[in-house]
Amino acid sequence: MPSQFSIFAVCTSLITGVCKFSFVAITMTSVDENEMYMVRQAQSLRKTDPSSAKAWILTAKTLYPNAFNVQYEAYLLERDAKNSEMAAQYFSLIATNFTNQHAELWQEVNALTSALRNETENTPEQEFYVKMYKHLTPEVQHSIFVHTISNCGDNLQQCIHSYILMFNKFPKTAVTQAPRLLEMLAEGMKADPDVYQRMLVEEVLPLIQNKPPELNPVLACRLYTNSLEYYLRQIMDDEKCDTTEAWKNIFKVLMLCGQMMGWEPFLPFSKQVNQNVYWDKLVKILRGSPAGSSQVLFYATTLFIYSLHGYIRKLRIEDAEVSHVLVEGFIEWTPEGGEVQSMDWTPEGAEVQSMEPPKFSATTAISQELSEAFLHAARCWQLLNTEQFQRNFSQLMLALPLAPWISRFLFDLAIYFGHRDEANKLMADMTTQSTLVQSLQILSLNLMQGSMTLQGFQCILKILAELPATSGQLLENISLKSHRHMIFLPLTKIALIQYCTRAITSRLSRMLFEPNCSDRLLGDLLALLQLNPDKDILLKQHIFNLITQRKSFNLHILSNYIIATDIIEELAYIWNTQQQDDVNFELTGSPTGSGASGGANTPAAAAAAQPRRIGTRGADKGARDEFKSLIRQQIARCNEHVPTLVANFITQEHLTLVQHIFGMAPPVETIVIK
Amino acid sequence: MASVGDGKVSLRKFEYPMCAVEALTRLETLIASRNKQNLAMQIISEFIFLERAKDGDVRKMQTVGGISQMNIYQEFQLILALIDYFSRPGRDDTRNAIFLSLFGSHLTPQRSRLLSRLISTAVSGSVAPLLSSAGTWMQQVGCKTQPSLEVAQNIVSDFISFSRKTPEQLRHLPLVGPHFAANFMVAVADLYLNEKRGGVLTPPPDALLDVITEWTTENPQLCQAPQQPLVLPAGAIAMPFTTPLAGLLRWVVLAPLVSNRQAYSNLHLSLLHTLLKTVNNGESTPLHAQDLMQIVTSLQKYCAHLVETKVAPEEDAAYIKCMERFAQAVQIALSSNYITNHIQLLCVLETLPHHALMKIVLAAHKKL
Repeated sequence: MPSQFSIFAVCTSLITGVCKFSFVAITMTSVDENEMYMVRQAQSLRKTDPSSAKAWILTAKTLYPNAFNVQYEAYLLERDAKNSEMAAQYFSLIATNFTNQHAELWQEVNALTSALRNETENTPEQEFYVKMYKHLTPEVQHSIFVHTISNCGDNLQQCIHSYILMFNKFPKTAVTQAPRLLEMLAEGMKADPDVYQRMLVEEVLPLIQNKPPELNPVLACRLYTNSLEYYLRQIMDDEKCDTTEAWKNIFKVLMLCGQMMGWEPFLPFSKQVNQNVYWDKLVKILRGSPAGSSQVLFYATTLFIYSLHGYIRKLRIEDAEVSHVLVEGFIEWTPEGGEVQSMDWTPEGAEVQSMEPPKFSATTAISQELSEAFLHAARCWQLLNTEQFQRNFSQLMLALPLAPWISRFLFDLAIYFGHRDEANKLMADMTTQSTLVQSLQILSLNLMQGSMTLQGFQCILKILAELPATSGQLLENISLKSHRHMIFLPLTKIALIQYCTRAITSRLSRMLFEPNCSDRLLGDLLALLQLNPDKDILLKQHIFNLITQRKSFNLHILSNYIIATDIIEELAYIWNTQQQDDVNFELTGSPTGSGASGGANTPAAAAAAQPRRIGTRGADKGARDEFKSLIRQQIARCNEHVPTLVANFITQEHLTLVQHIFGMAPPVETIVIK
Repeated sequence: MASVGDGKVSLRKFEYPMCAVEALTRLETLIASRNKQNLAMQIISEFIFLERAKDGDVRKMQTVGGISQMNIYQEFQLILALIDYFSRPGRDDTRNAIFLSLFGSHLTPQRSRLLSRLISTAVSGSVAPLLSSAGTWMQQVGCKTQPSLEVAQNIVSDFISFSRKTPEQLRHLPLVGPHFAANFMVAVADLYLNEKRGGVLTPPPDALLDVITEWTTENPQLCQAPQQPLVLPAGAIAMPFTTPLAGLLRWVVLAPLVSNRQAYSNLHLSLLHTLLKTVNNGESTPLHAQDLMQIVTSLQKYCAHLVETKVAPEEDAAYIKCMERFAQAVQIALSSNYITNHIQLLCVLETLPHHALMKIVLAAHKKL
């Protein structure tokens, strides 16, 4: 019995349930129809008679207070009438009562959020949304973002935008929600680094700056690397980029990420702060950290890139008037020193000295700054290439767009340490260099070996062939007595001529001490030494001594290339004294005729076209007068531009010079300037 | 005849309009005491309106009304004196009592003319205390009675018909004299689109329609404005307030029969908002089903005419529009619990030719 009864009970309840259901369904449909009928009426009047349309909706609302379509139509009417306050009221109603099942609502939410995103450059339509937003209650405003975020689905960018918007409008939410957003950004960067890096740096970081959230260390480090990459690209790609601002930002982000990871805080950025201050701080942190700690890695890397950027920037025209190139300096050769390799040469001859890195010569005003920047970068580089950091550091370097800077820096570092082979290898990486810089660097590499090579000489000719227009001035200290040193050579006409000339003279001057050096060698050296009249006094003296010792001396190039007063005076003096001593001395001032072609334009060269021998014997009085007039002619040319003259001399007489340096004339083809 | 004690003698010493000014001051005390009403009336008649009975019997003037000897200049002087008097600080009940004594429900043509001019002047000058008293007067004599209608008609002619642009003073009337404005609406609503007047539907002047729409839209409480009790002298019985809603609803519902001006849509919407906002809390004046019956009657008459011309009312655009508005108003009024005796109304509405919305509305409320 009880079982039967219960079955019956179940049946009735089933039946009534079905009945109820169908009844509800029927009324629902008719209600829906009526509701739709009224909404349609309103819609048909929306454009022509908005008041009547509103009347319909007002009525419908009293009949069907919970109908989405009615509320939505009410909202649309107010929206179309640009009635932001009323529209906000209806919008709030819809947003709170009908959460997420209506596509139309989402369309409006999207329109609203996109209008909020760029409030400054909105269309009038979007301005309406911004106005309406202001009329919404904070709760509704907040729930809009929450719902937008939860409804983004796969649309990462939209989701991130919504987060950013929410943080902007509700800064408090950033504290708890920021990690999620940052994860999304990291996710997005895998696909499109440019877009998401920009969002991270420009939009998100400023929002969380004041209250950084706790973040997993790997993510925090990655975000820092990404920000760094973003700013570095800005610095490298955008010529108008305010680099000080960029570095200020990089340091800010570094501080922020450091905070998120509980690092010991580093120093804030200031352009005035000496780099040593940063370095000292780094060393202090290094001492208190375990080996290979990521805080040291990131601080040191940042500092390295900062110094590197400073170095590269100063090398280039950005900070100075002309670009600079790091080259090998010259060591003054003395016959007493013998034929030792410059690298190993020391007064004491001790090997310890050779381990010491070279100094930088104070050749120009910027030398000091450049060498400091270089040494700072080198210092960080060395620290980061110790075993504890090397692996992570090289990974970081791969992630950052530093290749053009690094290759230049490493090349300079190699020549600084005298690693010629490595420098040669690195040369290949520097693709962006001008041929002038390249020639100069190859020349410098050749000089590092201590002696002039044919390749080095070819480079000199190439350099002289493409001298820049900027004149510049003679440099001090390109040649030092004691120690190997480096020069930041400005790419100016005079400095380049000086460097090339010095490369040749330093080689030729040694030959003076070889037996039976030719007249031609002495003359050519005199021509080259004209460039710097106050220097190399001893060398010149030695040459004059050699001339005096000879019975005859043929100065082929006198009329074409010797115009320096001091040399001409000395020659005149020799000629006069030799004459008085009544020694059989001949001084010939005639060109060979074949080699000198460029000088033929000058009147002096034309006058001295015929070979002349001027003896001291007094037999040829006319010849004596001629010598005097030749001397006068040359002195009259003393206002000519000496560096240009010397450069022309090298170019035009290169075959003779090659012969001096390398003993015999090489095949002409190898000298051809490529 | 005149006793020394009644003060008439001293009043006679004054020239016009000083005697009128002086009389107004004296009236304040006379009106306060019940047994001096007659004297007050005599003083008003003699010294303010300068009336004289045909047979010279001053006592008869009160009922019959006298012949005024005022010239147009004196009328002007009187209006100024009255404006001045009502502008002075004083008690509201005294002012209202004096106004009611000056202008009772039965007015001589002269007093009626003076009243209309006085009120028009008060509207022009935004004389709030006078408009307040005028509002009380209208309610006491009845907004739809002849004197009130005349006043209303006069305002329409002064400010609407003979004015190219609606004056600011009229547009701001609800702010200066809300009570008067509401009563004016009741009266003016009765003047137009009312078949009881001449059997034809005369639409209101456009400018009037616009002003009324502006009033109701910007002052949603205006149709309930006179909720504050009237300030009357002791013993006087306050007459009930009639809301202008019924009359104005008649306008908008019947308007499609004579006009398709969009302005009616706006007024209609504004009325719906008023209905929606004034949920009946027992204090506001409700709409009586009877008030809306007149609309039904007019619609029935129109439908009968349609049927005569072999047109189905259900397909007549004007009828559809009328019913649309009517149904909307009824629905919102019912949802606000604003109509008394609504069952009766629903039954009558059912007899009208079919309209979709009306059917929905009736179905919704029959269930309850």
